Amino acid sequence: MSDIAVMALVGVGGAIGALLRYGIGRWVVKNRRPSYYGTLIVNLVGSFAIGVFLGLQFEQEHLMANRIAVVGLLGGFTTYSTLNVQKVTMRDRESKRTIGIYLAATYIGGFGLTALGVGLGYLLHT
Amino acid sequence: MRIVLGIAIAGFLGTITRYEIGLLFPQSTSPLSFPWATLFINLSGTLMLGYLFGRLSRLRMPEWVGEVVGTGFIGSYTTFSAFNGQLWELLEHHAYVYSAAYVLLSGVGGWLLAVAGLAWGRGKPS
Repeated sequence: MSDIAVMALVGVGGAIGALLRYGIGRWVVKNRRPSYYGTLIVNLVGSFAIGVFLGLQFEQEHLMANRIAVVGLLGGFTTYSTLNVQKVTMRDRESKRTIGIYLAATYIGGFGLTALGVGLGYLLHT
Repeated sequence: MRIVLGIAIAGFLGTITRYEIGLLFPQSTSPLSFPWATLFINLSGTLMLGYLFGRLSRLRMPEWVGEVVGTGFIGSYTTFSAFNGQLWELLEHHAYVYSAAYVLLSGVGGWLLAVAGLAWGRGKPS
């Protein structure tokens, strides 16, 4: 596959990821929940999924598919800039406790889910 | 519908920008290399999103600007799944100093750049 074709497919994966993230964000707001719930959902789901791909040795065995699914789709689906801006803007509306829980859920929960995903990937591999 | 199409295009562009910047960084085969590319992407994207949010809080702009540029482009440009995936790989190879540095630079650096970006976007109080 040419470099341009790979790049385009990575971009298509990212576009799908962005649309899913946007859709989840809209669904959260429609259900009258604060928008950071949406960020938390995509980041936790994406962190679990990347763990599964790592456990499956996907990059080593399927390099191109890994670029599309992991760099493209999961990269576009999850987001880090929104989280950082929320760290600042949430102080206007939320208590320190809520912000603390949100950050713990994102960082500790996210990494824990990656680890869990790796474990599942290892089991599914071979 | 136009917002959805805009987010798909912006998500495509944000993702390929991340992918191409990733390729610009020296490609290391060592699992012990520090994830500079993702750190640069996540921090620069945070500064951009902070600036955008700051601007939007001062100027009257249609809703789609924030959605397409913020959620679509910058949201897809930055990534949280790769952060956790790379953190897993660093820890797996017992690179504890790198792991701690990566978490601190991404977490605290991200917060500081969000503060800076928001202040920059809001500009001088008029």
